[in-house]
Amino acid sequence: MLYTDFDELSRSDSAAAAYILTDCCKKFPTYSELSKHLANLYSASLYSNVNFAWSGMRVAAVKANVLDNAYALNGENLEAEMCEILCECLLSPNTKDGAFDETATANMRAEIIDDIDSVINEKSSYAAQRGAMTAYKGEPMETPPVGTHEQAERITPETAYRAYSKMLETARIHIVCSGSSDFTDTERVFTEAFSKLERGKICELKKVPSKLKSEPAVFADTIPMEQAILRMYFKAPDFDDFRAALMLSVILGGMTTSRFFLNIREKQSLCYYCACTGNRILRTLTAYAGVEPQNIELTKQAILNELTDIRENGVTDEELEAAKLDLYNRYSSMRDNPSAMVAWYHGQILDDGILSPEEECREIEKVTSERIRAAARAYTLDTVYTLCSPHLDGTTDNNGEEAAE
Amino acid sequence: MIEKIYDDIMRETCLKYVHESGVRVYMLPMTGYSTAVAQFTAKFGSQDNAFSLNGGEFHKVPDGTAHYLEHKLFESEENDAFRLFAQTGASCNAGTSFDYTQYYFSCTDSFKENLEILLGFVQDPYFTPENVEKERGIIGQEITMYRDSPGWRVFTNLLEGLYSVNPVRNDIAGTVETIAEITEKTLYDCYNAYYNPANMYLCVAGNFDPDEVVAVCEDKLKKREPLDVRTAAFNEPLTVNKRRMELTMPVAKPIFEIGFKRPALSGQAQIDEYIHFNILFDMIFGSVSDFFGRMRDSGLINEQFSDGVFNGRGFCIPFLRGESVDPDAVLAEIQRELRAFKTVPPSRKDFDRIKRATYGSLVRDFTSADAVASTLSEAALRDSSPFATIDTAAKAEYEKMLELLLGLDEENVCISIVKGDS
Repeated sequence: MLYTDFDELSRSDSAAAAYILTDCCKKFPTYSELSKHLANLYSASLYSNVNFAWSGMRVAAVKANVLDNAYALNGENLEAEMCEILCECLLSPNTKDGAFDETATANMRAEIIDDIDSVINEKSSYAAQRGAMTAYKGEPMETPPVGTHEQAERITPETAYRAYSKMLETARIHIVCSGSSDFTDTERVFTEAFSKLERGKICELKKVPSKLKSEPAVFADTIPMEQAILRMYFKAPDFDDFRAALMLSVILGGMTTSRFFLNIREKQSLCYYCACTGNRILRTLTAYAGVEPQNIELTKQAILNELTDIRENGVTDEELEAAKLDLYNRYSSMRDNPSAMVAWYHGQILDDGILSPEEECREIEKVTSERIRAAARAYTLDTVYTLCSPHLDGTTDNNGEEAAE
Repeated sequence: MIEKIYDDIMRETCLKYVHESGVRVYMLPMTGYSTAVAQFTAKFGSQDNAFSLNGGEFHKVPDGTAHYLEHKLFESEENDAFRLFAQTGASCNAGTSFDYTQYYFSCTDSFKENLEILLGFVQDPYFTPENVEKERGIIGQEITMYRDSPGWRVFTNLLEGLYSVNPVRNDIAGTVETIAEITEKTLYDCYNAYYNPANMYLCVAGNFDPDEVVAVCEDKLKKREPLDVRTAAFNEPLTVNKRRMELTMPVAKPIFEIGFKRPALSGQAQIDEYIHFNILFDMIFGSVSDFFGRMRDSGLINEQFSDGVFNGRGFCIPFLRGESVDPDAVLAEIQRELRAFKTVPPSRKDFDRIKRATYGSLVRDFTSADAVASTLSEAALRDSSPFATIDTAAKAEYEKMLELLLGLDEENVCISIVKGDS
């Protein structure tokens, strides 16, 4: 994980750099050659992605996944070899005269543009991206982590290489390993490879919650589709009880006995899905539903009613217990999944102390109905976004127009 | 009587036991894991759209009935299953496929209680005119959601293009019109026919005690008169129904799926074909292939391009999918490449590389309780060994792959395209 300060100018270049790193390297100068080598290692995988670590920070994750040595049919040391390839890709990319390889960059530029454009293919992703444009207006998350189509078109082998060099010089680098190995080989390979790396001023990690608007923003898009999508963003920039906020999101729409599921889907039959998710660093809660266009207002009101009810009356003992058990089950099963464990520790690097899933369960156990009620009171409606067809709701196209509530 | 099935490649033992009712139970305890997953499955999917009992007349059922039944089974007269699972913290859900319906939970605690809930609600249908009607709107919304998904539409259109009469060509959830015909009687009729214990199996993987599973099964599984339930047969032509399907929806770049129509197989022959076609297509079209590099560099495909084999009861489709400005040109290149490889077959070295990669992927899949339970369920559906797929991959043969390549009719193909408004 390479954490860097967010920089608008290099948004797409940084993404291209991270992607090129797992496409080829000096030792395997084409994607095909690298893929063949990984196939020889029992379909080992190497991939990267870029995202917002939180507002104001960016993370480029370069990940390798390899079979445990115990299952190698010919006794190969797969772990050590995979770590060496990962270090090769990170520290010895396919470059010439201060620029990445021309073909690799051209491919990656095309892939990034396709990624950006094809978000419309999945309506829920499209709604999330368009909703973010209003919910996070003026913040880095306003546009996708890989940038806009226009930014991506400007990627060149030189600009991507400059972004890579800066990333390597200033990034706070975390190496997280998870699996059944003791990772002795991993430690040896990485220690040796990174000892030669020259670093500059390492960036400081910082938490920046998303800003709450003075008045809720309402935004609508229309495209040809049969179902409508509603997304409601709630924010509480000054509320730091993230466990209460998490429990609130679970009780509202994070389990099969959530209020949204039982009351909005099952009792009112308003939608097939209505759920809620939260971001502890941004301090946001997002409720989202797929509804018939004529039911958008009803669903919106039903979501607000559930939040209001918790603000006024808190949650029942049954809800509190079910949410705790649900989280206990999620956290307890995490150790069975190496990728989930990596994400777990990555999610805590800004915290004062790092807790194991079991320790976190004990903290969740202490959350009370009163704390959840306080969270419900703190979270305020910030943005309402809808995506629906111009032909089913009787409205005309209003793409890109904002409306006052 | 518990049968032990040991696999010397995975060094794992699967336990198989057949309950008196006829339910087959497969168990694979996994040392060092916290999670246990149980999947209870009925061999009743969207393909089963007409059935007869004990040699009687065939009854037609509306498309989408298996999926509708899955939704309604969670409800009971007193308490729905979701509420019961919420009291234990288990995560539960269900899914309907073309050839089966599966109910499952995953938990780290209270395994016995959860298994009792699972077996309890699946064996206790409660359908009323009111609760069946209430679900119609929810399922209608689910159908609408999928109709808005280009990825789903390109796939279902491919099936429609490939098959003329095989019910796999119909959408799993049916349509708003077909589900309007479903009543509580439809659901009870299908339940009584297909949820017969002899038509069901239970698969458990992860952290659990097999003796506890047996004890719960002995206590909770109901015995019923064995039924001979038969789905109506159909006479599907060997050639594709249509060679090209096209649909316009909001997409940035055309997306496509290309499927080759193959005769349907079963048992080990189906697994053999699955593994060897996967190896063949990965070798010729996968990310390691010259084809992939050439086509990507030319801009005709991107990283979304992938291949695979979609098979089940009555269908086998080696496929390729992706995004392209010109899907028809991609198909032409694929056909050209297949012809070229028929003349100059791939090397044994390339075969060994992809064989090893295929084996590695399957072994990696065997490391989560979810995936292992699914592997057991697939094996139970096919009535094969739970380790058959991995063993077949580890022992894959160049000659079998070559035979498939030479026998593949590259013209017996359908391309399904979803493109945007131009």
